[in-house]
Amino acid sequence: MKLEMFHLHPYRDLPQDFDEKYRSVWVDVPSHLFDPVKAHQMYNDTLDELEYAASLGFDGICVNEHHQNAYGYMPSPNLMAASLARRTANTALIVMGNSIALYNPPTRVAEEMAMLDCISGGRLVAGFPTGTSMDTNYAYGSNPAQLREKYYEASDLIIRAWTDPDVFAWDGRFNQLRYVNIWPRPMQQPHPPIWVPGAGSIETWEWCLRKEFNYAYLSYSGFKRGKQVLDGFWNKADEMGIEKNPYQAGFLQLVMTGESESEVEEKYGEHAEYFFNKMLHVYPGFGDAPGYRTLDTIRAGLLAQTGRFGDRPPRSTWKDLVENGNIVAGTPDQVVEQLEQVAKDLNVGHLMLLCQIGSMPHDLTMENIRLTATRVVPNLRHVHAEFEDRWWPSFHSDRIEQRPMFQPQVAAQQAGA
Amino acid sequence: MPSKQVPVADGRYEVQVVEEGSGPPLLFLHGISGLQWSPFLDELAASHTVIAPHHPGFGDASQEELDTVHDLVYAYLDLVEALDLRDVPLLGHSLGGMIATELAATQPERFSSLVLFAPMGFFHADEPTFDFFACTPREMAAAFFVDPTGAAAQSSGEAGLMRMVQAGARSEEGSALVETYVERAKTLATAAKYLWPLPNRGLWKRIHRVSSPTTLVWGRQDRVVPPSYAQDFLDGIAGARVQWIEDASHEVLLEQPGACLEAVRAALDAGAR
Repeated sequence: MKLEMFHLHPYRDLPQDFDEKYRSVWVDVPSHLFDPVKAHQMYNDTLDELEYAASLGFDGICVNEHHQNAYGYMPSPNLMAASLARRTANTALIVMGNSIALYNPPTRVAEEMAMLDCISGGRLVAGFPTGTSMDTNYAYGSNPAQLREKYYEASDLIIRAWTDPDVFAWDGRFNQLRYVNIWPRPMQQPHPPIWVPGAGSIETWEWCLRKEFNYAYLSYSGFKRGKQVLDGFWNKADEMGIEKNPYQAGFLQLVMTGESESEVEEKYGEHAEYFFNKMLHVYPGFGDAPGYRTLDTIRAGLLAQTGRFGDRPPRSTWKDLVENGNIVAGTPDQVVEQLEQVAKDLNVGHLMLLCQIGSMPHDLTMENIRLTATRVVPNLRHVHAEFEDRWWPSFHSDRIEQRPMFQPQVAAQQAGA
Repeated sequence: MPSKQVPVADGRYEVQVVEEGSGPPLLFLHGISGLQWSPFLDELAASHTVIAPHHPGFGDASQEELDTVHDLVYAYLDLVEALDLRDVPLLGHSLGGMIATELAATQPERFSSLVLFAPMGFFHADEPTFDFFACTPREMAAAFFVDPTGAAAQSSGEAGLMRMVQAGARSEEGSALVETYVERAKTLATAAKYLWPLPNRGLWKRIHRVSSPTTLVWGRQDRVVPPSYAQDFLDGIAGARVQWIEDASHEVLLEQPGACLEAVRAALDAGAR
């Protein structure tokens, strides 16, 4: 199986009483809490952390897209990926944005992703999220009653733009273009693998299976909730007569690795509790714009409702979070054991490990990455080895010239500067 | 309420229309809370044949092609043709008031009079409309009703949702209310199609074309579309007048059905052209 490091790039320095003083971490989070000097440090820390993970042997590094959000402020994952493309090699660049329905024309996404694929030498995974309601409807003003249809059209248009060698006209419901002819074209042929981050809606399962896209369930709910969702996905595959290849699915898991059990709780406990109790503080009115979900998904959701609707979940302690599977934590051996179980139970070939959350400082994150990359990742590669991963970049090492990385300072010295 | 399906758009989709009462016909366009058969409509049906469509646009065949208010106006022109409604009074509440104004601007000669209850269609950033697309059910009830715990609020869909929440969707009462909630989600999603992210679709460019005698009816305490918004309609429609209703917010028809009926009767008596 493949293990990838995922980064949300949170603002690590929100006030401790954020959840009491402000109504939402997303959409209308107050701008006076943002300090660009701190953000300078944090952006560079995030890039360092992902580059470190790539150098230590993670199979891929993942960035994603959120808007007006303090626990993930990478509105343009493409900018992060462009930087990462220059400072990594032999690692997949998994760009879990772009929310393709938001960009007009969507050929902009086709162009930028083709650029990333060329710069990186065929290492791109193209993420096509529908995007959350907070991002797409509330922050970007996109009409919720049309978002899904817009998304389907954008997906068709981007793939056609990547694969059709001829100039073509597009007369769509949401996009009209007389001349589609993107320059550059992606290095990977026919196009980079497409992964769809999902949140459990019924329509997305069928869409991914039919289109042969990877379905990646991204949530902070952990593997117990993840099991229900992935079971739904694989039941759909059975229904459609499609092979249950684990590499067609991905799953996000928070992971915190330490040298001993007591050290793990001591070092990570406060950050885990801060993330779940304070940072996931989203005003319920922004949760689900009318029309964002289909009526079938709403009905299914209501019938599955067990607790009280609209109430905030109770506060969680470190112990709860570990017991509920929100976090996989422990010594390297314990983490290996749990993740192997998760990969098998959920039948997923791609585990995206979130090694940094919320207030976790840079040093601790680097330690988590080091332990996880060196003592967890190598001991899991054998899982699902009998399947072929058809959702992985082709890397094209045969087609590109390997050469030492250009070092501008050295070159400048040689030039006598 | 009995309803029928009326094919429009050359038969590509249908509009669900409730028809009730007897007497001369009258077209009623519902607001963002959906078509609720209230005492107001019941009384109206005693003197008129009330023709009340459910707005199309989401969760049915019309979703494929209804994108804009312009598309919806043409769907309704097809509908009034199909029902052979001419020289008919047109009433609209909230979102329905906005659509009614658009219709009257497109075919001024077809509608004998226009009665608009707290119509949408304008937006002023310095005194914004309430964001009913970003609120909790409790906040919604508090904005839409002067008394969110009163009898009028209890009879609305909001209270049903709260009951479902309290009973739990799996209980007998809860599961019956699930369908009510789904229907409500459909109505709100349809409203979002025409109002997202804020209720300005360029009505200001067309409103001057309205020539039907027009009465505005507005809750004095409307917390959704503030009473100051009446001025846009008074300025835009020649000869329009406003009837203020005391002790009412945006659900003026549910909150003060008697006063609303009086306003309608006065408008129809005075306004027939």
